[in-house]
Amino acid sequence: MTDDELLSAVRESFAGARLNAPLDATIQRGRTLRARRRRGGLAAAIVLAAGLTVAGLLSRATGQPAPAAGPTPPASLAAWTVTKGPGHTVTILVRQLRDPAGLRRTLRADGIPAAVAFQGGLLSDTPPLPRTCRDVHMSDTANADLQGRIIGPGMAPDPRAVALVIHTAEIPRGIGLNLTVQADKSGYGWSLGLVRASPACTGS
Amino acid sequence: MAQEPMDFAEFYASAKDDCLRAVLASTGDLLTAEDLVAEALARAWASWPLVSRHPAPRAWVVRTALNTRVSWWRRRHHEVPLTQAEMHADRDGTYEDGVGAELMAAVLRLPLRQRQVVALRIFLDLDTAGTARVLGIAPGTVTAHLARGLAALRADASLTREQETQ
Repeated sequence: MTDDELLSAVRESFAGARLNAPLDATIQRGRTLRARRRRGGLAAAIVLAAGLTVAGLLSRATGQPAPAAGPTPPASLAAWTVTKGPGHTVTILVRQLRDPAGLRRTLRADGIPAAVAFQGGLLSDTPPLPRTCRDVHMSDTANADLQGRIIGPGMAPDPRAVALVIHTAEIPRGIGLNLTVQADKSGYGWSLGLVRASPACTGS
Repeated sequence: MAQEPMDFAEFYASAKDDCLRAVLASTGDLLTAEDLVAEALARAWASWPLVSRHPAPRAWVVRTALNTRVSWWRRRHHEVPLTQAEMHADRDGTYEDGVGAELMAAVLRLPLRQRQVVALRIFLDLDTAGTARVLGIAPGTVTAHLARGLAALRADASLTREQETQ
């Protein structure tokens, strides 16, 4: 049995699973979500405006502003943004692959030991970590499970951006994140590895 | 050249079942998978101007569904059981909705990442790079998971029995 035949057999076994949710109900739920998001956005705008008026500064950590030229987001948007959320979550929104060292410092300031690499082409802009950094003493399965608990995709507001949600409480002591964000003509992608949290691996 | 945005109803009709199957293969629970995909499709509708221009809207829906599952799981503080397929299977080994329970169980016995890689390859027809982007892992890791997953499926006793009866 070839791989294709095997995949076809498995596909056939799921053929009876069909989603019965009506389109109308889906759209109704979508309208609710959209209205909630608009209300949330309005409230956030009011809070932000008030905060800026009182404090006169923006406390959210951002990367370097995007350059105005080229097919990129508007210049007023930061290259990346790190925002603390509820439930020990930190959301990273990357719009441009700029200043990985700044992102790493910001994550560390939020208690996340991390090595960050941006890869816009074939080569990463950051040297690979020493091999010993990847020796985290756990099975592949445990490693994969832990990664799944630590990080997940977020809701990027723009398909040209990538959003990641990190659950900081899931990061064990001594473990750091090796985060790579890549870009190609079809958009952004990201990958995660677990590494030792140490000055040599995740900085100090 | 910019791709013409697809109509949501058209996308819904063509994608909903494959998205459900991909999430079902990952979660192992049909009712949960239905809820997750319905929610993800509603989110897709709410952001359709953006999602319709996404390189792979189906992958967006599946990724959103799986991410939603993590959120629900955290909220509810319990894990969705992975052996529901066996619990729901009829005596003749066929899922009440027509899903072959034994084959499905064979998929569910795979480790999570292998299961997800196999599901994305089968139901969304994603290549290695696309699968890597959805799952947030390296392309080489996708290749390794797929090879191991297929090897495990091929070696699975129940799958072997299934083949012999065909």
